[in-house]
Amino acid sequence: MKKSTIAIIAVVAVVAIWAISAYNGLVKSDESVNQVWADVEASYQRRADLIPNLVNTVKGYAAHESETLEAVVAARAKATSINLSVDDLTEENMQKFQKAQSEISSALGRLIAVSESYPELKANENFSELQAQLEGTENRINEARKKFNAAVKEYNVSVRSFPASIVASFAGFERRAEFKAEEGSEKAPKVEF
Amino acid sequence: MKICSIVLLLSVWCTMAMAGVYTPANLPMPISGGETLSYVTNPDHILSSSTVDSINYWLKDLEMQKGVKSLVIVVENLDPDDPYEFSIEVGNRYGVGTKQNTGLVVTLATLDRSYWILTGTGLEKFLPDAICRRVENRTMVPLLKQGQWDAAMLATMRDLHGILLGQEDLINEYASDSDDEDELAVLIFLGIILVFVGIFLVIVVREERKKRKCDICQQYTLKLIRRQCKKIGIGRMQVIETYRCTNCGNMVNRTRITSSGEFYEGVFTGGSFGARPISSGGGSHGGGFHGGSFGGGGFSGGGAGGRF
Repeated sequence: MKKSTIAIIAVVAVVAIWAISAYNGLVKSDESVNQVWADVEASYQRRADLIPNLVNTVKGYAAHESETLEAVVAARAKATSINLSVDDLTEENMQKFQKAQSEISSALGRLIAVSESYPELKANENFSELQAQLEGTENRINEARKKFNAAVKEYNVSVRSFPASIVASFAGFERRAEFKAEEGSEKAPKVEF
Repeated sequence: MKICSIVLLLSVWCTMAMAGVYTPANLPMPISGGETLSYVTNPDHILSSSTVDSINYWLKDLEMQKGVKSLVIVVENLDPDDPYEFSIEVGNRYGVGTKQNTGLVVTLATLDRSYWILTGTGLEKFLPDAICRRVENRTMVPLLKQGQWDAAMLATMRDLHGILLGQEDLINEYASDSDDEDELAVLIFLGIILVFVGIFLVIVVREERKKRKCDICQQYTLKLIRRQCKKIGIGRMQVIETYRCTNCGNMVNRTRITSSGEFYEGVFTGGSFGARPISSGGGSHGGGFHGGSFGGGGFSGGGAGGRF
C-alpha cells in the first residue's frame, strides 16, 4: 500500500474522531442547557404555585386590599399561560416570558409592602413561613437563571468558536438566547431627601 | 505628611481587618485533624469553646448518621452584607456537602445582625424553607434579639439536628448514589482510541516497509509487479505476489492466505482488538472529611433567613 494512502486514512481517522468528539461535546452542552432550563421553569412554577396560598392568607387579614390581591392573581394567570418549550427559546419569546414573570414579581412586591401595615398578618406564623418560601423561591429563580445563563454562554462559545463551529453549522446547532437583566435594573435607584 | 497618611490608611485597614469583615474568599475554614471533626468557623471568637464543642458533636452525629455535611459561620460582619449571598457563595466555593448535595450552611453575623440557614439542593425536601423559618422564628431570633449568641446557635443547631435525625428517608437518600457522567472517562476513552489508531498505523507502515525489503541487497527497493489470487475455500483466497528489486533485479514470490474482502493486505488476519474504557469509578467521592474538605455539594437557593 502506498504511503500516501496510509497518510490519507490517518488524517481522515483523526478528523473523524475529532468531529465525533466535537459533536458529542456540543450535544452535551446543549443537553445541559435543556436541563437548566427545566430548573428555571420549575422554580417559576414553584412561585406560581405559592401564590394562591399567599393570597388566601392575606385575604383573611386584609380583605379590602382587593386591588393588590387581584393584580397578583391576574399577573399569575398571565404568566402561567406562557409556556416555553426549550426549542423555542428565541430572543423574542424569552423577552415575553421575562416580562410576564417580572409583572408577577412587582405585583408580589406590592402585596408584601401592603402586608407590612397589618401587624396581625405579620405576626401570623403561616404568613411568615409563606413569605420565607416566597423568598426562597425568588432565590431559587435567581440561581436557576444564573446557571441557565452560564450554560447558554458555554454552549454559545462552543457553537461559535472555530473549528467546532464547522461541526455546529453542519449539525444545525444554533446560538441560544439568555436572560437579560430586568429592565431598569441597570440604573441605580435615585435617593432624594 | 505622606507617611502620616500612609500610617493612617494602614491603621484604618488594620482596624477593618480586626473588626472581622469576612468575604467568602478570606473566611477561614474549620480545620479537622485526626478524630476531631470541626464544622464551626468562629474567627472572631464570638462563640465559647464549649458551644463550639457541642455544635461539633451534633454535626458530627448528623454526618455519621444522615450524611449531612454542615458548616456554621459565626462572624461579626459579612462582605457582601447579604447573609444569603454570602452563604451561597461560601457553599458553592468550598462545595459544602456531598455528591448528594446534602450541604447545610448556617451563617450568623452579629454586628450586621443578620442570619441565614442555607440548605443544599438534596436537603431541601427534608428541611424546607418554611421549617427553617419556623426554627428561626421560634428558637433563633428571640435569643439573637437578646444578644445571646451561644444560646441561639446551640438551640438552632440542636433543633436542626433533631429535625434531620427524625427524617427516616434521609439516610436512604444519602445511600443512593447519583450516577454522574464522568468527563474524564470520555477523555480517557478518546485517548485510548487515538493511541490504538496510532499503533495500528505504525504497524501498517512497518509491515509495508518490511514487504519492500530485498533479501539479497537488503534495500527497501522491492516493487510489486504481479498479483495472482486463487480461491481456495469459502471466503478464503491464496494470494501470490511477485516483487522485483529495482536495485539488484532480484525476483521474489510471496504467498499468503487471506479472507476475501479484507481491506488491508498482510496485517490483521483475524484476531480482534477492543478498547475498553476505564470504568468511570464514581462513588468514591465525598467519603472522608479530612482537613475540612467537602465533597462538592450544590445549592440552588433553599433555606431561609433575615435580620434581627
